[in-house]
Amino acid sequence: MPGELLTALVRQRKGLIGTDSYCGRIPIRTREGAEIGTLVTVDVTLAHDPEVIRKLTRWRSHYMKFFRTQFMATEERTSWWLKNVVIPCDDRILFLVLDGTGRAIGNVGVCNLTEETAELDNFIRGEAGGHPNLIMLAEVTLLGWLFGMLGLQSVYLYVFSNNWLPINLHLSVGFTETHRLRLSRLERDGTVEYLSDSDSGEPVSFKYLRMELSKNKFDANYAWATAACDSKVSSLGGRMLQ
Amino acid sequence: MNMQQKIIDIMEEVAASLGAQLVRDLGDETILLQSGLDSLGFAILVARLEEDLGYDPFVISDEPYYPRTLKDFVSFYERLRPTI
Repeated sequence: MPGELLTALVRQRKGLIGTDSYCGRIPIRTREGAEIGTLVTVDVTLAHDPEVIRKLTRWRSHYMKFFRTQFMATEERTSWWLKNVVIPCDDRILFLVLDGTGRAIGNVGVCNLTEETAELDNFIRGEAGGHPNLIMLAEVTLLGWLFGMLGLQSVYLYVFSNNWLPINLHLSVGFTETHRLRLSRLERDGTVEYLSDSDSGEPVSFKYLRMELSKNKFDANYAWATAACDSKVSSLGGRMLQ
Repeated sequence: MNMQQKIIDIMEEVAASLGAQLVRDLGDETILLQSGLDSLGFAILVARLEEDLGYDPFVISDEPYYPRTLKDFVSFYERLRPTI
């Protein structure tokens, strides 16, 4: 997808241009086509929603030890991040994962989005419930959208090697480990930061893994997910350009 | 109590607290992703085990390890148990 169209699509999803709210929602379906949830873009409206801010803060706090930068999560900090990073950055999108009843149970983000590739980040299940495979199928749906709708050729992510369950999930979707970086821990001003391949800080035993997935490999296992998004490209593209 | 029974007991407690249902024939070959606990459940399980056992093998291990089955998971906890 050309760069200008990609930027326009991202801005539209965030409610920065146009008014088409349909574009902000991606149904999460099983291979058989049953709808079990939805990915909803965090747009300018949701970024100001106190309940969304409260949930994102709680979830981030719960999984803080698996983030590279660790701090005391507060609603003020989350609100600032949404309004000053998530919404204005054209290479970044944050989605809420809704279960079949429309309840937000987690979030997943995309950053460093280009015409060719993107990084998955912020993949969190914050609440129990919903379909047993909801999180796995949310990842499949998002990848299907990135490859099928945006036409990316590869997607990558970084994860701590001790965060074994998401790693299992990513492996099951087709990601493979491509790099393993050593980490060191640096604490200053109440914030812990894990530095990769740095001589600063205190070395830790776990590593920082980079995992990658190509469109071809994803299509080999989940062509149905890519096809589901392909079918919407022409109509969404047409509406977006109007 | 052996390690496997301790882990299963805590899995059952976590599942109950989340309103989840573990598979009925939970055993060595059960795939963790299909055990009935979701990723939130496993995050709580690992935290509970760290409280009870005093260590988290995924943090102290030098090599990344991704247990696939319950047997893999239990063995990892046994293998990385700190010596006194």
